[in-house]
Amino acid sequence: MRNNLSNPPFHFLASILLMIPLLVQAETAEQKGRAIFEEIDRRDLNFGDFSSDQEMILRNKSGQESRRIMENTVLEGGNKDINDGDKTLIIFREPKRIRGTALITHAHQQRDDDQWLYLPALGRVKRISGASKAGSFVGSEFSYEDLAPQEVDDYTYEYIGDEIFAEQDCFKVKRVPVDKDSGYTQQFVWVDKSEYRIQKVEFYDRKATLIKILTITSYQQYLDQYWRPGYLSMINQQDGKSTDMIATNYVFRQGLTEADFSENSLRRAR
Amino acid sequence: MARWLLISVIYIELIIVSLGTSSVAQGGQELDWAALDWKALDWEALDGWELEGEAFAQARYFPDNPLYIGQHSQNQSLALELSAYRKFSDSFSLEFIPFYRHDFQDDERSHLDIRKAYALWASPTLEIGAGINKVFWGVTEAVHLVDIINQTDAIEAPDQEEKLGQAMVSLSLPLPSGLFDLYLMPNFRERNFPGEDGRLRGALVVDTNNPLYEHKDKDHHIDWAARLKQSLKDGELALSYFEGTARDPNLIMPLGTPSPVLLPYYSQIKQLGLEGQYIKDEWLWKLEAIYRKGQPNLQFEVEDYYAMTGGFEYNIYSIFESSQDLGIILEGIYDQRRDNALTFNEEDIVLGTRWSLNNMHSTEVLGLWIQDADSSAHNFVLELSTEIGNSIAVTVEALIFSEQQRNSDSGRFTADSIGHQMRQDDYLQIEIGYFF
Repeated sequence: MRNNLSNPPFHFLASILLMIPLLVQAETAEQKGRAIFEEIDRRDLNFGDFSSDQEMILRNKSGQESRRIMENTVLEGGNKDINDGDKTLIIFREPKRIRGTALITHAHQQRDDDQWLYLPALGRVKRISGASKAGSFVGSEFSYEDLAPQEVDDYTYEYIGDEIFAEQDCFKVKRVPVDKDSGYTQQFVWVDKSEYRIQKVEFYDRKATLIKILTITSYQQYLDQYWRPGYLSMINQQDGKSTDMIATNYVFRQGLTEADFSENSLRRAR
Repeated sequence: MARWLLISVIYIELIIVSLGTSSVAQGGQELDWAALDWKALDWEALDGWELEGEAFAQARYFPDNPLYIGQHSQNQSLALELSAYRKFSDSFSLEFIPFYRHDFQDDERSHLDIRKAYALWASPTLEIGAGINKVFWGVTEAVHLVDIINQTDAIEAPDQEEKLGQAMVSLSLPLPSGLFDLYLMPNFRERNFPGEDGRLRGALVVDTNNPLYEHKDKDHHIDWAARLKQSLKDGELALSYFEGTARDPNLIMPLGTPSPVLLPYYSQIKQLGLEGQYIKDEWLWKLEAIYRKGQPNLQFEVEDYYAMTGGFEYNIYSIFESSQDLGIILEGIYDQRRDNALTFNEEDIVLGTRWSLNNMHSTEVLGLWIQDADSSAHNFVLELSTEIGNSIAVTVEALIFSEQQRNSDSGRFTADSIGHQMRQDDYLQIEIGYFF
């Protein structure tokens, strides 16, 4: 018996038989998690460019409110023209003291993003460090990385299971940022199964404690394909502060080019 | 010239729009007075223009006794800046920004300036502009050596960050990851100086009504400048050239005037500028250098010189496990003329911090320590700014001149003596801004 078992043909057969269930299962939790985000990415391909108006309402523990208004424009990267990440332009409208201030970000996949800030009072374009991911965005509960365009390779993934969230059947996926500059150690993301839209994110800070919860609602579909959120709520779980973001006036495919996201275009951004 | 041309353009535009409105009114049998509703008319005429404004009330308190006759221990002023912008098409726009400050103590500090009156035609391959505009060159934070297009609005603030509008015709050519700019500047702007009643000045008042020029064309000499900028993978590099009237005048004391004054003297210069920036993680390394020919030094001897400034900016995000950010700058300044430089920032080390609380009021604290490298003289600036609601901002600023040196060992008037003349001019300033 022992001899039989150890003879090469039997070994071969046994290993084939052992592999069958693996082939059927096909995916590990890591693979399934990643596949969900690849599908999100795939469904958003070729949007070209879009812009929207964003209003942020910042609230502190005692309920005081403050408002930020800006215009956000995104040019899709990774297409035939741009072999790199997305490019974004944000022009601030309120607080009025900083109105006209504009920020351009060129996202990169393998290195820090490039960022330029235009200060209208000085007529100055200032290069700023793109390593500022974890920093607060204009005093809100959103950090730069929360608002930055997301690439699949920015995280490693692990599928946790299925869960109902907001009456929708969702995948729950854990993702871990690859970048050491990230302010997070891990995030749990709820993605609805029907349209692959992110519904909720739990953020864990560098001490691995739950710091913020983001819920995204009021999705609308544009060009019969692209889903964009109308309302984002970010609530800090540790200091009671929160930021609501309302996004309106989405306009797709205005025919923008890289020239609209250059340092020169910053100087005439209005 | 260009200024008036541009104002005419705006004016003509307004006339056309008003005519359009009134011809509709006259279309009826009788003149319908109700159709000439002034509110409706104004609205039509301004339709398409983005109108904004900022108003400031500023008070300064000087705790030390003034050194010179006529100076006050406090100062109040009001300032207003309006802005009108209109985009006529994707490529053509007009912008008009007048500024006025009224100073209740110093007549010389009361001044009107057109910051911008600029027509811009922009396409992806070319940009042409004409009118009055503001252009900034440079990368460093404490002093701006390369920046030369605009005259400094020196009476606005001692940090020299404010600029006067400059008339120009400009051409911008986007290059693959770069930019080429060319400027023709037909109208020179003189620097302004505090009057007899003003603080932050030297012992002698500068007589701005009688400027002297090296060139016979005086303030109509056509200056020109060009700059080539290239973005690199981890940084930026720019080379610039300027030929024309120096923005910083020599101050000379004419003999035989009834009471001693200083007259500004504007020489003709040629200046080559270099800017470099290298970015690595949270570090920004910066360098600016100039080589200038043709300007007399403090002893009024023509001395070609180079000057440079450079250092780093480092940002720490989320300090103290909070959402607060801290930025640190360290920069050195060196002017080859040293004691004969026209500025007391001739050999200095600057340490600065920017502390952003990232709260809902956008509260920020700025600290700047400027240490003279060859004496114990230093300046210290502390600035706190915060917002109240969406339309009001409050800024508190303190400036301290400390241990300013009178003379060099030889007893001559030197670059550092300029600072010594302002040794009593420490001040505390509060400014309230309203944005509408």
